[in-house]
Amino acid sequence: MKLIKLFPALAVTALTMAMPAAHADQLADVKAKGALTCGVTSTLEPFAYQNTSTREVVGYDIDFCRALARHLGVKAELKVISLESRIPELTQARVDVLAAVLGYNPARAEQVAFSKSYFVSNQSLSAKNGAYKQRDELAGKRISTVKGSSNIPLLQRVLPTASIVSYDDAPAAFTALVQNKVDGYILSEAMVRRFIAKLGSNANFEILTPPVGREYWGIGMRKGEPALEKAVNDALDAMEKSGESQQIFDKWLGPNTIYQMRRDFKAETIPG
Amino acid sequence: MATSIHFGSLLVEPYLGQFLSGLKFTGLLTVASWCLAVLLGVALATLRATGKPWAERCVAAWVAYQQNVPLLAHLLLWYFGIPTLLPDALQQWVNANNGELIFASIAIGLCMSAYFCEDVRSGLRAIPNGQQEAARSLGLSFLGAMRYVVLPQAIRTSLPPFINHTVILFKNTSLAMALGAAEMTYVVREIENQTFRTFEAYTLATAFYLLVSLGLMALGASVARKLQIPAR
Repeated sequence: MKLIKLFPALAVTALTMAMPAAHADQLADVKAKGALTCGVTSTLEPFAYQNTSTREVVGYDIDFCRALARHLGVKAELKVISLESRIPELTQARVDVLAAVLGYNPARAEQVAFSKSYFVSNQSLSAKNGAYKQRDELAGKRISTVKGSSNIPLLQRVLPTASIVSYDDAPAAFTALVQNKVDGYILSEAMVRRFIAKLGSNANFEILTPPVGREYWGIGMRKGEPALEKAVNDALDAMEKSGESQQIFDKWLGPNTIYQMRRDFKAETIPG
Repeated sequence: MATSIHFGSLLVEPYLGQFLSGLKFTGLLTVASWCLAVLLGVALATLRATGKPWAERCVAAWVAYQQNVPLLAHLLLWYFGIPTLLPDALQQWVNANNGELIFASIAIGLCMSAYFCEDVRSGLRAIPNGQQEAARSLGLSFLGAMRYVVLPQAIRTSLPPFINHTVILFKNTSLAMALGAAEMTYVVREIENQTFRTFEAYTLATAFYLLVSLGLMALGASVARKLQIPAR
């Protein structure tokens, strides 16, 4: 008899134990803890990588994490996670937010709440200097990319007549362009700029406009945390206004870096 | 989660066309590299049969190099490495004329030539020296004796490993996908990427390779039967 009476209480206990995330408000928890734990990657220069002299993880994502924490009035805590496991790390509450090169797509948006965009990655075509004036002149030409890349469907939509040659990895696809095996190469602008910079002064490649596609990166948060979401978006808006976001962009990707990129986006709600 | 298995959805356009283009590429690559491998293999075995020490050493070195380097390394060297040494005009011509097919055929053909060379050599060892001597005494030159008397017998003897290596060559063409050569495996992987019908896509590829390999073996067996000299 006693056991039966106990049962509802036991059931409630079991349920609450099974759902550690079922608390009132994550923002309050972060403030009480005094720290915002960001899940970050560590192998993607210039977004997040280890500085070889200080052994510290630095980069664009890291600066955004630190700035967000400062706006929330707490200190930033970095947790290095792998690219593949970043979403489970977040949904299982091992990190508070993700600042981990997280590009928006509808499938991810079902599992994770995205903040306003803090970076927009252009997927662009590159070609030999002066060979083409703009993107659409590559119609009907051979374009190299990486096997299984999300660029392939993008390219098929924008340039249906182009023939796509896909290689095992990004350097091989770029080598094909360098050796004239293909006429163009599609990849994220930052990566292409890095390859071009690595070739040194005799690199004669340029990036064609307009981009083939744009990938919006957001800060990833668990679903159902409106207070935290609002706080993060407010912080991104404030950083946009004060020019802090621009500063971070210029520091890692701007004209004084090997990337020589211009910021062509603002912190905005990601078009779903 | 489990999606139902449905082969029909891959056998429509645009996938059917992709599949057929992969089939054509694999066929061309197999034929081109096989011709190169067999011609070079027979030539090298003949050269070795001259018994000249320098010839023997050169052929042995060639066979050792081709057999002891992975085919993928051969392919990458030919596709990405060798072109940088070629004159610009030739590079441009190759790039404009299906460079993937040309370089993959050369790499696979040269590599497999070593195996065919060894097959023919083992066949030659089965032919008594008297055959060569008798042919020479009739006035045939060394090459004439090889062409009309010795090699036909040697190749007949070495047919089983010959067929074996033909099947291996055919299967090895799938490695050319690393060069962006749009052969069967490359195409099937593309279709899989587009449709996420993983099971169906790779099952089709498996069935294709299995059927062609078995067909080659059956063809080889029937050729061997036709060429067989009935024992007395």
